[in-house]
Amino acid sequence: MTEQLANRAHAPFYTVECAARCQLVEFQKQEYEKARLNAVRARMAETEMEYRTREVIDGALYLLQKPLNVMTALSNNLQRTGCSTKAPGCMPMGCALDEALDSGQEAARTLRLSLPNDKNVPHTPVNMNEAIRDCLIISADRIDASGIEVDWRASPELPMIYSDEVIIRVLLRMLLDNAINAIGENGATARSVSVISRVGADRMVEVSIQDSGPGIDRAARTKVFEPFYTAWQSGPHHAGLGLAIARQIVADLHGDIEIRESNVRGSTLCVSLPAC
Amino acid sequence: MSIQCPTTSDEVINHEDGLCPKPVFCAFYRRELETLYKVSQLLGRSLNLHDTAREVLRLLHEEGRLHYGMICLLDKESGLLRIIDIHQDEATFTKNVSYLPGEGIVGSILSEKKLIVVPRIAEEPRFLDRLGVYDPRRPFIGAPIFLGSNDPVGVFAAQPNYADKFLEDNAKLMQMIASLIGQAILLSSSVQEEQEKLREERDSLRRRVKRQHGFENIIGETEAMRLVFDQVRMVAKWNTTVLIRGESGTGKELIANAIHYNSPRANEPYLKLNCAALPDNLLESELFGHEKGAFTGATSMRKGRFEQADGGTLFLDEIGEITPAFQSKLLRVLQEGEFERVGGNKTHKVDVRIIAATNKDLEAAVEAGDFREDLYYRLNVMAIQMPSLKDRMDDIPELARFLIGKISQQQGRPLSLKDSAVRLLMRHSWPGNVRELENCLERASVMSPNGIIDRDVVSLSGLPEKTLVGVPAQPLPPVLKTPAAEETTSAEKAWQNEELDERERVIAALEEVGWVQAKAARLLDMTPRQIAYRIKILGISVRRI
Repeated sequence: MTEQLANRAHAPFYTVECAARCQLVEFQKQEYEKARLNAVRARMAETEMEYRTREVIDGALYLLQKPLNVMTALSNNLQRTGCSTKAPGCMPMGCALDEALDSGQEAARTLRLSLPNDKNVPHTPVNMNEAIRDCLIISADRIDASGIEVDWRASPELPMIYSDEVIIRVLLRMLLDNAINAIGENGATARSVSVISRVGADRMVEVSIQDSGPGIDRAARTKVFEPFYTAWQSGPHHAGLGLAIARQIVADLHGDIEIRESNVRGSTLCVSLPAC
Repeated sequence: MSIQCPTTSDEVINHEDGLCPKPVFCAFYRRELETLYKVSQLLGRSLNLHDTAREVLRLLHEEGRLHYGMICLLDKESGLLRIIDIHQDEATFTKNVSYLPGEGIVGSILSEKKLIVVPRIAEEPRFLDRLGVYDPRRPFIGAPIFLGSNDPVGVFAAQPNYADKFLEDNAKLMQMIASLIGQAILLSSSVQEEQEKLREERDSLRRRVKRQHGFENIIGETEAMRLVFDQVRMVAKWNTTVLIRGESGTGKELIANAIHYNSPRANEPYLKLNCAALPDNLLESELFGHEKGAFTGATSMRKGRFEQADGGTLFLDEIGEITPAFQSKLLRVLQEGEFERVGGNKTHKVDVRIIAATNKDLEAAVEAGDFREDLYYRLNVMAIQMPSLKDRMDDIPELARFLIGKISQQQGRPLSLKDSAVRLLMRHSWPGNVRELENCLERASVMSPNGIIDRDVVSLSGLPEKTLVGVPAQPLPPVLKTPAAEETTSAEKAWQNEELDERERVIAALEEVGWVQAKAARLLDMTPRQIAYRIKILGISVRRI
């Protein structure tokens, strides 16, 4: 009580100075926050690019591998049937096949070399709610531009998860982008996204992102996680990598990603990651 | 909008009957009953409140009795009253409006826990007009929704026609409908709770299965296995047919599991079938299912594995064993994803990922005409070749340790694997691959009374004698992987390792020199007599060459 009185007695002398200092501190805080967000944004862009490149090259390798495998089988069979392709004039088709095979394998080798190196980033405890907050701020412009209302319900007692903070933000960004795209589609019932974080069973940290878009068909529920699959009809061309990358990240973290049934329209993407 | 009297048409009919003294009331109550009946019918149609709420509100609006009905429910997490549905003239977007308990007239209904009837909504001070759909000149009735006798969980509100003598009756009707809605919510929430519980259990089981079948449970550091891992990783995320080849016991099924549980289909069904286990006819009915009465004993329709695995993965083991007649049927499913049940003529379409495995030389089978060439190419788009164990000898120590850990868990007692045993294991050629290794270790662990698995126990468990004899052509590869011994192994031999007990060292030295005791004595800096004595007191069984 007396302390309060004493404080009040002192207050008038310092008000002006104090206010100025507070303002300065506030300003510095804001500047610091801005700088931090910019750094996060830059690192996210870099990591995202890396994931995209890897996914694209992996996909190209796979697509190349398919015909190569068939050709290898064919060439093996030709050799088995007795006609040596090496003999001149024996089987021109066989020679062409072998050459095509060689060049295909060479191409695959070149592609494999251009895969970005696996940077073994050390994992640290990451606060999921902070990551969601950053992602929402970074995507704020896009969210505003599309006129979307975001309902974020964070669980206050969320355990940390063991991961890299940039990778987690990239993951959330992919999911958020997916939700925003969904709302831009025909058949959206409202313009709202809800982000919910909570502790699930088995000490899993669950984040579900629900959009009021047209929803995902039962048949497409596994397809959407395949690379190069895209269901978006409107807007610019999409490569169909977002959810594939999200799945990859979640799989690397030994988590789970799925499209949940829900009784409201739209789709709910639910990610659960083991808490540390 | 035109306001019609609820009783106009019926009134006339009843007049003509001349039975009812107050025909207006009679007609009103009859309609009231009819409305209640329809509402209860609608509510009973589905457990999903969002679907039924819309139907109920539309019915009430179109009946011309209760306009712009609204159902709000209390959200447990936020403590706010959220609008589940509201009947509107044309807008399809529901405004995101919510009320605090006690806020506005809707909130007051919740906090006061009783029906509120307002003859003219414009005169009500608590009316907030947040939604902007209510006619200010009309009455307003709001009824609380109860689940049992506890606090209300929601509010059902609507606007009847202009205040008339039926206002009280309308209020009663509203209350009845509210209690019907309450019953529907009670039912659906209990079902939902049950479902939630089941879902959680399913997820946790699914997680456990996933953990068991991840890459972590496949052992292999050798180049050959790395290649396999890379291929599995690449193939897993695409929806493609995979053919896994390799000798029996190399872990083809393990790889198939890893592909499924690392694919986007991990949460979908995963079925396995060993094609060699069933004769042709049974195989067909097993895979494609059969109609009722398709053959003797087909007393009911049965779905086949393909239908059961729709959306998921089907693992067909021993694909090389199926007959040419069946191969053509399989080819059609692989190409078109279409098939018919046995005895049926309806074509079913499925989305199933096939993982096939075989240990047969398919190329030879194709050449001999036992295997269709087109099916061969169809399956061979993504082939994974499993290396046999003798091509990945370097993995044996780690594999053995992993398997011993597994067996020790099964038997519920600690087991320890001695390096002498590992060295012995590494000299075997393992025609039965990992399965043989596992069986051998299991036998050895059963034979071992104290949980220590060393050379003697392993050889007792029936590793063929001939593999034990003979001097190894090259120096023994480093096998000690225990952390303490790690750095010593590269420079020293096992028999020089001070950390090991004497028995192990003597055995190592004897192995090194092909069981010539005099040479082993020289290695260990002993006299032949000394080593003979040690062999005797340590109970080492000596192999004769």
